[in-house]
Amino acid sequence: MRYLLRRFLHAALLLAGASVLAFLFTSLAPGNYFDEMRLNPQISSETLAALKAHYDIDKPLVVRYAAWLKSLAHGEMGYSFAYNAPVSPLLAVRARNTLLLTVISTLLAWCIALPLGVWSAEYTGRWVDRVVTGASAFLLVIPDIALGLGLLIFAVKTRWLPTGGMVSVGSEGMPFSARLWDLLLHMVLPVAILVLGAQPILVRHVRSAVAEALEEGFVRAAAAHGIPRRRLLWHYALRAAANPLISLFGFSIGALLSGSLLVEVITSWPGLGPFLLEAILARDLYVVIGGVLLSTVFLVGGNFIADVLLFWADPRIRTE
Amino acid sequence: MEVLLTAENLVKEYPSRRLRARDAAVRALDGVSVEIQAGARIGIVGVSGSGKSTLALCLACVEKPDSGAIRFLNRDLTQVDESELREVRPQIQLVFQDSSSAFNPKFTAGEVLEEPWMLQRTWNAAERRERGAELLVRIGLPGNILDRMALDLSGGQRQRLAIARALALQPKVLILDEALSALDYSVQAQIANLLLDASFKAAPAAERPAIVLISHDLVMAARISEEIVVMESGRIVERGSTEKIVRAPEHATTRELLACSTGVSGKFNQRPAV
Amino acid sequence: MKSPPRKQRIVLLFLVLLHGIVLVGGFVAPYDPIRQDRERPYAPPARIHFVDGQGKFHPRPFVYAQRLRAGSFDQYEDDCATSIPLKFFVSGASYRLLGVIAAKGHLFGADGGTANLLGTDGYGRDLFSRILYGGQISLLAGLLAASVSLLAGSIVGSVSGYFGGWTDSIAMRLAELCLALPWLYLLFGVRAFLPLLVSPVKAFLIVVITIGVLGWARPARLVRGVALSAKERDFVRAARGFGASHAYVLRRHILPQTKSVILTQAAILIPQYVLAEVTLSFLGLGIPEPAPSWGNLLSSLQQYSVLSSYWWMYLPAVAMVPFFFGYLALSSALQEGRRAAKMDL
Repeated sequence: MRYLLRRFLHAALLLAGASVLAFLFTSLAPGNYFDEMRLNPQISSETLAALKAHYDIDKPLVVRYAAWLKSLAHGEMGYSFAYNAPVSPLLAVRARNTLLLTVISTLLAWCIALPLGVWSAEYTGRWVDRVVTGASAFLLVIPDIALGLGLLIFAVKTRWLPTGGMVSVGSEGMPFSARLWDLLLHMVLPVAILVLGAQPILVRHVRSAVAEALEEGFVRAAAAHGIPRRRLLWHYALRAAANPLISLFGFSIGALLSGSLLVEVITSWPGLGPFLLEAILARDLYVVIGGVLLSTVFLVGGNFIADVLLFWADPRIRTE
Repeated sequence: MEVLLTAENLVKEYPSRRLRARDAAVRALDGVSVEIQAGARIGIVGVSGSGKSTLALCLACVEKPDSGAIRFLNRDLTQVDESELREVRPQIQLVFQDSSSAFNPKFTAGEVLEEPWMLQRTWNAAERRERGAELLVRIGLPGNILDRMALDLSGGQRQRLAIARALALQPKVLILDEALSALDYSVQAQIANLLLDASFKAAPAAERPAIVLISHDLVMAARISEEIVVMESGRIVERGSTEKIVRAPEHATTRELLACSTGVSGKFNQRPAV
Repeated sequence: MKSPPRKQRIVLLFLVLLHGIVLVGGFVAPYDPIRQDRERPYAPPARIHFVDGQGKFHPRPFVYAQRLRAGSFDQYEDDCATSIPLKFFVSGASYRLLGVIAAKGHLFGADGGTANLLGTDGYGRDLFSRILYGGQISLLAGLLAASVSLLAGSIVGSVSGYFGGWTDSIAMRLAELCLALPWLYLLFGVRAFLPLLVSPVKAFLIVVITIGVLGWARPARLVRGVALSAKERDFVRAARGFGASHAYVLRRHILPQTKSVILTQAAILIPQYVLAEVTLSFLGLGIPEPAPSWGNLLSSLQQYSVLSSYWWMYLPAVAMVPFFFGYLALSSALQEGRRAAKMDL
């Protein structure tokens, strides 16, 4: 239990440090930030006054950071200049859209990669393995941007799927089932790109972890005892392969918010990615910091979840 | 004979590896004092864990003791700063047990041998090559090994190379930390003779290094040393001239060490019946 | 020094060949990459023929001139009456080979017209030439950024691992922090908060340095590991015993041991960084117009009209694939080589 507490503290400290770092990075812009904003006609003087009052935007870095922390305690995460509103509700909506996409893609990707990897490991060297490994290598070599754009062109040419956005225009008036169907159709393309993009790495790791586990002494002993093949694979080998796979799963969770940036931009999915990009280009400071930190929470959280799962799954860690 | 190197009341602890802090740290050295005179040949023997290697490392200034003093020509090396220590180090040389890790895997034998001169002397490449060849002759290695990879040599050749390298800067004290233990018995004997030569014949008295041999093999140490120090659990339990130790050992540990050694042994007749 | 095994050499040769083609891109490309031809926007790739309309075989390949279809502003058709033969080793637009040598020779050119083998973009610029020049920039950016990361990482990692103590703790905590932040977002953020409207050269430098510096953490950790284990080795102690300074030990004993780790990292980082530059440029944060980069060549695909009608604008993405294949093959070959070397010992 103390081990978990330590890991949690570690994660919390990491987040705190990350927030400082994020603040530091974004203040790299040369020149006085406040003066720049005053010259920007898009930002009204009321906004500026509010910012000055609540966020000490004209004070040095440390003061700004403290003011931001205070707003964090209020659940606000700073103020968006472009949208003239507090940051958290803006981020929340976008993050929800992204998570919709990534949670489904991650689950799907793992559901496909696990059996493929196990199958491939069991028949190492045979044609099943060759096909799977070959297809993985092929996919691995295609960069995300090429994969995304390629599938997009395919969708456009075949006109089977909507090619952008999350919902069709005018879908609010449709009955629930029709809206759901519309949403699902829109999700097919981005989910496909994400799942295909994740496959090669996942399959490769599952395959090597299981292949190694199958070589372990106790698995061979179990086989010699006559344990049926299926139970052997799924109960024994997978258990032994669990450690690296759990860490990998932690990474998958960690990437839930940050891994889909490009895909969202390409398919015009209204998620966190395009929103952050827009904010970055508009130098909307607090949105950028908020978004980066939100993703960091997931990254750090993912690692922590992996630690917890490892702790639960591997008795050796409990006795260390 | 002037006293070169002394260890005074050395204490060194290694923190325990266990999670519970309550378990006491391991005391590798528990108040050890040793005197090494110019040209002397001393053997320090004991079983594994007796602290003899730690003593060697402290004497060679590779490790720092937790308390106590190490005096070299009346300067306390534990109180001296890094740059002064760097000057002193070449005078106290250490040869390790495992020669395969004592050489940079990418170096040739020539590079290994010449490294001390590259660091401490202003000779050019040709001079270094010449001195290297001389040293090889003294050590009994053929000249053509200079271009071979250091790790490609046989165990005995590697150990000779290590000793040659240690002698390169004409140190006043040469410490061999179990340097013979990993070798065949016949090769051990050869190198033992080599050390005796290095000590006697090689040079006038002023240039002969004092030799400190750390070993678990008392008989081997006896061949080379004039004086023997027996250690156990971080303390010195017996010391005296070689003759006295071998003929009339007083401490139980000394007697056991004698019994374990190959060669002369009083307990030879007490092997169990098969 | 054992020579690299056969597989590594084949892969290296393949990579060198690919990079070589891009390196002499000025020679291989028939046209200047920024020369516009407003009369021919979005022209499709010209097809190479050997047999003409009458069924006659010509040993010299040729293309047909393209003209706008009557009544359309973006549909082209082949003008079968006008054939443009392709000649090899012609003289054409001047360029600088390898950036220094002024030259005018090109691998091939069209005689009496323009032959856009891969089509043109919205400004009528030849896509084939732009892909080659774009490759130069994208690949160079990746290579340079990887060098920056590896250099920074090596220095920090070796000093940190060798000296230990506070330096080491701080450096490693910092590394962990940097690795905890989402890399792509951080990259974008830092890039965007630096000046955006700068010349292509300045933008290139900013991109390279940003990507490179932000990636110091992983190489640093790996090099630190090597330094940690190397400093405990007896040959390091022996060198210190001869009075070697720390600088000497680092230079002669520790850093050479890091070579293999650095090479493996290079094979992984270079494609990753090329992709980072491509993504940055694709989203408008990288190399600006008119300088070509594989990323900004693809950015026009963000418009639906381009996506649906002008499929050849996707070709820069295809061009990237053999390079990534090469680097992937290199890193598996390196891994295999190391595994084999370990078993020899």
